[in-house]
Amino acid sequence: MSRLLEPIRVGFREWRTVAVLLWANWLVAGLMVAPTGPMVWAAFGHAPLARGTPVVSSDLLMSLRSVFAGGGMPSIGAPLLLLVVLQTFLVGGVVWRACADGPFRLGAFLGQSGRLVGRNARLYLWLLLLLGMVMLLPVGLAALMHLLGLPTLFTMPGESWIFGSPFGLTSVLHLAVLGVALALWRLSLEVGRVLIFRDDLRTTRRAAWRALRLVLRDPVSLVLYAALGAVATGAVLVLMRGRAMLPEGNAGLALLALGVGQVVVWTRLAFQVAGTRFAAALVQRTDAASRHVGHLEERVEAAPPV
Amino acid sequence: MLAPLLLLALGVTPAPPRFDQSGRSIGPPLSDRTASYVLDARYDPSQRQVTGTAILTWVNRSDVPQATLWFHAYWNAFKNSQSTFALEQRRAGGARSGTGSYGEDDWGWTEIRSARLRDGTELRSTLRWEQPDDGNQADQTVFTLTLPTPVPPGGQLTLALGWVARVPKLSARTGVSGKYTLFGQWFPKIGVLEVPPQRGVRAPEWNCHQFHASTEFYADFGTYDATLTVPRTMMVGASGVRTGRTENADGTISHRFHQDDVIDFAWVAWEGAVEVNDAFRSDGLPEVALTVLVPPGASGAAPQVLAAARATLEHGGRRWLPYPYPHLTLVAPPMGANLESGGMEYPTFATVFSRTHPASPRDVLLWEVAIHEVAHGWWQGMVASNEFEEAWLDEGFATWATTQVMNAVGLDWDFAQFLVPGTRWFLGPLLRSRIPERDIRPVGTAPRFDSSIARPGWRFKTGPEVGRSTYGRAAASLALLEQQVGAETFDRVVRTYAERWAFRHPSTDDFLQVASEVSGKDLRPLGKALFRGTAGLDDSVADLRCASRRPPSGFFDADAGTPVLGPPTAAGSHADVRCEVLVERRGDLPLPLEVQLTFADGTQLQRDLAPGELWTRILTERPPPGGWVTRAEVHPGRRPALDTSPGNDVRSLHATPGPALTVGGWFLYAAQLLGAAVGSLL
Repeated sequence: MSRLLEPIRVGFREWRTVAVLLWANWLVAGLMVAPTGPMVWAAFGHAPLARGTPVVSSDLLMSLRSVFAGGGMPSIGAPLLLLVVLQTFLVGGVVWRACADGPFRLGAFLGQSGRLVGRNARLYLWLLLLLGMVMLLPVGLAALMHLLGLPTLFTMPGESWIFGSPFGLTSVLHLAVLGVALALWRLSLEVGRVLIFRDDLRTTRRAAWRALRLVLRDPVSLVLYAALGAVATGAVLVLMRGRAMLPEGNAGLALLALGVGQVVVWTRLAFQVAGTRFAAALVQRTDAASRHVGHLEERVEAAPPV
Repeated sequence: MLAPLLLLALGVTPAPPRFDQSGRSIGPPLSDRTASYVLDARYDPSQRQVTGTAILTWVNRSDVPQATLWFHAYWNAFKNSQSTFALEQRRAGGARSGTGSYGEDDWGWTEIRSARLRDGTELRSTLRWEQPDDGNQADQTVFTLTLPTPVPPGGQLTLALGWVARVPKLSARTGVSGKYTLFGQWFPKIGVLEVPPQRGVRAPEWNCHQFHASTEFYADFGTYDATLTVPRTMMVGASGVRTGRTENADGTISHRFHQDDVIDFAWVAWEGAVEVNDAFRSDGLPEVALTVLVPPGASGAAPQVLAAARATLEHGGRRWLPYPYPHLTLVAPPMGANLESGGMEYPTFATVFSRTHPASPRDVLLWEVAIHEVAHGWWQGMVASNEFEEAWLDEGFATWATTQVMNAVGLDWDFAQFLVPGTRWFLGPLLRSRIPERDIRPVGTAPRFDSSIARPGWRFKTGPEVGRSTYGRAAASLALLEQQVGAETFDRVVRTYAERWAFRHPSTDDFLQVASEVSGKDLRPLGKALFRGTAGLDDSVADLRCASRRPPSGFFDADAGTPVLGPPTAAGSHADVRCEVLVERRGDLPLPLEVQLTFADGTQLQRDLAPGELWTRILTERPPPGGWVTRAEVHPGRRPALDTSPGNDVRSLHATPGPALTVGGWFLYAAQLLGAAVGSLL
């Protein structure tokens, strides 16, 4: 349990790191919704009929089609591209914070981010290959199950989602396999980043390969990492539910909801840091084990022959 | 004997039935029974084949002898990729998926093997495939037979049609899906000989359209007596009343059904279905026996479907016309067949939806579809409009009626019910909502529509546009008419229309005629604009601004005519508040436009926009503090049903940051979540 709790503690303790990630999130989200601002204000800025109504209502949600009929839709593509760049840049700093014990300094954070950005980007590209390979497992399994007439979330008729229940035994099992496959890829990526940082590796292909081997040798960690992802998803959903239960209808409540929304996003980002910390702990533990084995080997060599 | 006593004890006194328990009318026929059928069909699911005979009795209602008879062979729409149905599906889409995904074994067809007159004359050699709508020679959904002797005016013809059909893969309301087979428009069916003044025709003419991707059907009333033979393992539900069941030596079972005064006959053969029976009983209304067929594992849907049917029979029976038929069968298809075959109306038989885990206590998806399809029992089942050419007359009415019934039972849409079972209790608050039925089907956003509503289904630009126009927009147009004459008057309009046109074939003009007559207003110009035009409606308060009036500046002539710097002495009070309200009309619908201004002191001012004006600027000057216009509203207190942007009907002087922040904050939050989700993959 401590292997799960410790990274989560670090994730939430590293509030400055999360704040930097949140800043990037704000920037991207702000760019996404910026085009909607004038349209939303024009439609709802002097709209007494819409006062006191929640978002999911006839006066707000159902009238959005006409609000955006003349343009002003949210921009998605370019901000997400910016997010890719920012995130690739910032992960170097996150790895630094996950591995280091010292105080947070923004300059150092950005310095580490800049130092590692190229290698982290190359590592990610290598790991995309791994993603393609590991996804063969759930995809192949889904095809096999489909042939056998066993439903999965991805092969069942679309209307099962509305008229039936997509979550049966086989579909949940397949989902679990998919989750483990994704965890394998993601943990390999995190471990690879830690290895690059710690050992200052220049050859990212080698880092990717070492990371994958390290993860495959420790299936317990893989399962724990998947569990960490499940905990993160559960925590975010609980908070989203809490936010959705807030009353809506006036400016104060809207600001309150926005504030609670920041807690939701903060939690998601804290778990991101926790995931990296989990990978760092895994690498440290493997190192310690290697040193212990090496030490034993030295003692065996030093011992007098019997 | 016990049932009437029990009803009496319960204090329910149903109205006398119009049909007996075998589906035969009591007293004079309700319809003219132009086309009646005795159907005998045998279904072999292993071969996916139906072999049948249809003995048609047809009456020539015209004053012209008829030598050529027109028929539908609907299933040839699924014969190959070159049928008009398949071509239109590929080009413009349709309400259902069509034949695009068909494999080699999925196609279906109808072959006419014989057409014999009572005296034994074989007409098969006279069969000609016709393509009256598009000239597509590959389409075989309409055929003609030529008689050696014309049917004289008022004369009657008896014709025995023998046919074999291959059941297509389930598509567009018919076909096979696993152990479930829906038989809709499944037998060779005669077209409608329209006779003046029916639907505005000037001379007798056949109305027999090809099967299009975006159209439904049109048929004359008659008597149907069907014997349906299927393997014993299959359950059968059908139009009409079951009058017999015979087990055969070959492992099959023959079900017999009968119903007078209907326009069609549909049925389902389904292995493993669960049958649930109930009845609708209400004071002063005829009793209706109810049967629901649901898939195993979805029996929880049956009580809700039945409750929705009862609510519709109650509402419709009291507001439109008592439902006269003695039996109603509703089919909730199995998983995988809901979207293709659920939500289709036939006389005394309809398909609805099934859900394995319906929301409790009322699942809006089950209720809405059931109400809509049962409402079709009036709007098309009895008031039998031409669905090919004026689909709005049944779909628009049924959609409007659905809103009426849902309002009556207090049912709104809650999107949380769409969450997958097991997550609703936890994730429900994320989507919890109460959206009225009238807002579910948007009418569009442009102040001018692409097509008129009352036009043949295949002449719309796209399939989805057929749906938008004939359902939501048509229903909103009816609601707009209702607003114009008042709910009470419109109730009388609808009731009179139903009474006058039940068991007949009305047109758009016939409805508008009734509406004008009952309301005492000539609604035909507005109705013409609504149903035959493309004019939309978007009246708005585009701007509202107020400021303290500034004193005039510059030189003004003094008494002697000499320019003097400063405001003239006779300029009045300079302390007034000057407000400007800009009202715009973006649609062309000829509705009167009333504007209401509300001042800070509570007084109100009404203005009418001059006809034909696209905008007007209203200026007010009043002393403060009561002279500020705090609110301007078009169509005060009565939001027009067809308004494409109802949100801009009212504007306040003071900002309303609440709604703007609510929407803007929600957008930002959603964008943040999207960013966080994508970020977690990087």
